[in-house]
Amino acid sequence: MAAAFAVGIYMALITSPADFKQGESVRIMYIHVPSAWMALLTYTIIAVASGVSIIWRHPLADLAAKSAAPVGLAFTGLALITGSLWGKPMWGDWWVWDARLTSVLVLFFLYLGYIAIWQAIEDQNQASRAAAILALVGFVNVPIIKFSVEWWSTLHQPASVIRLDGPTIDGSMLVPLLVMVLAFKAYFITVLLWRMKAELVARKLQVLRLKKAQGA
Amino acid sequence: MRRTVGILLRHELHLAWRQGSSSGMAVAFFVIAVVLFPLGVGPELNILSRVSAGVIWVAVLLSALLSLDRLFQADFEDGSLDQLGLIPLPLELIVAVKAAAHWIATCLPIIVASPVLAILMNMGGEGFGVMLFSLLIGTPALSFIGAIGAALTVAMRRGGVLVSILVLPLFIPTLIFGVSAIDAVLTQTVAGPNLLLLGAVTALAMALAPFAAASALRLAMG
Amino acid sequence: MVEFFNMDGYGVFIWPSYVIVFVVLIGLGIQSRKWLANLEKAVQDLQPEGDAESEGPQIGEP
Repeated sequence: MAAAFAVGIYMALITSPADFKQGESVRIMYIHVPSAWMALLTYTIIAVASGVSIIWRHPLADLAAKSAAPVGLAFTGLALITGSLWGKPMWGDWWVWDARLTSVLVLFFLYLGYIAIWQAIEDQNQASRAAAILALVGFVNVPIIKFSVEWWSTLHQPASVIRLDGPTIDGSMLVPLLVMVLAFKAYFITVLLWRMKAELVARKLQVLRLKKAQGA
Repeated sequence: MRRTVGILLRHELHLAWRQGSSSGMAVAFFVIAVVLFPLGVGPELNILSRVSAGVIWVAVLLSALLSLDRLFQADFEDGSLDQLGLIPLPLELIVAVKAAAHWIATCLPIIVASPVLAILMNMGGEGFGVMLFSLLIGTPALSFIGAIGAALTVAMRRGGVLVSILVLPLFIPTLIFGVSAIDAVLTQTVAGPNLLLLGAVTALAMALAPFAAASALRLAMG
Repeated sequence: MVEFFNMDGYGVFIWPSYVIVFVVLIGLGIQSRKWLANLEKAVQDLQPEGDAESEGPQIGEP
């Protein structure tokens, strides 16, 4: 993971060329785009894990979904912040109600709701199933929300706005981008495993404490 | 089965009527929320009429939320939810009936009040018809999607804020298509596609939400 | 060197975004590790006593 990041950053900041239209600012893309992709991918993973947990009641699926959520929230927040830092030089404003940014913002709220319901229900079994239902409902809504936001932005958009994802990506930019995506994925898997392990240990701890309380 | 549904719906409406306040409170909240906007953005009639559709729709979303957290809670607490389980109807249908009752008791009075607020917001006269129509076909989605949030938080003592967080992002498509339909008429473009999409969102919500809400309720009832 | 950090004037936007991304990612990683370590320690603290009756006190470390 560290190696992928090192190579990715080296390529992104040093060897990759500046874009002819966006100049050096295109370098933000190498962290913005992976963050945004991972934000969506993580939500998909949570939804799939929730489906598995509802159908097969597999406890590891619950743990995976729960553990992935804060990581996904972090990716979503980073996509918003880097998007804003990229938007300032490109659009002249810190925030533009562009369809993509707006959808990512909504995704951020979906993550918040998902995490909130985990925290609001004390009983872990109930929380996991309620959260799973919510994740699936949210997942069904993601394409609808995305479509509606795009619809809304075409109604309000002045035509001449540079879009954040240039029309075509040159090969010299694609390689560093892919390396960074790989690094983000490796990061996600590593942290996900740590957090799942922690959740497992937390449950074990609960059992131990319960045993001790009953024994005493 | 249709008879049972009818009885249940009448029972729900009767309860809402007897508790009385919920419809009146929703309308009062709706009126006050809309009135705050001119006070906030200033009384210039051009600006008000330009944002009128959006303000009214947003206020509708918030007012619909108000009574949502109690949708199943009262029944859950006094145990009548378990008794509803004894009725020979699938829980999904019961949920749908309760969501429909919420719509009639909360959204319908708001819709009736909306023209007055459209006048206060200086909405163009040609927008009134499409506003009423968009609210009529759009707001059922709020009650049905809201039922999911209400069911998920039914066992929580202070679920109200959580319901808003869970449900408001899901209201966005309804908001967008509803406002776009009114704005389309006000700016003399076609409202048709917006209304179709608005109706589609409602239809989808009515078809799917009862299943999600019912499974959440089963979970809470253990 | 100055030119490199300046990045045609975009450095003001590029560097903070890289810093924020890595601070957040590393922070989340450290938080996850710490959380795991704390839990494992708590289990260790409980385990020897809990196992004392059955297996003896040393069995805690794998």
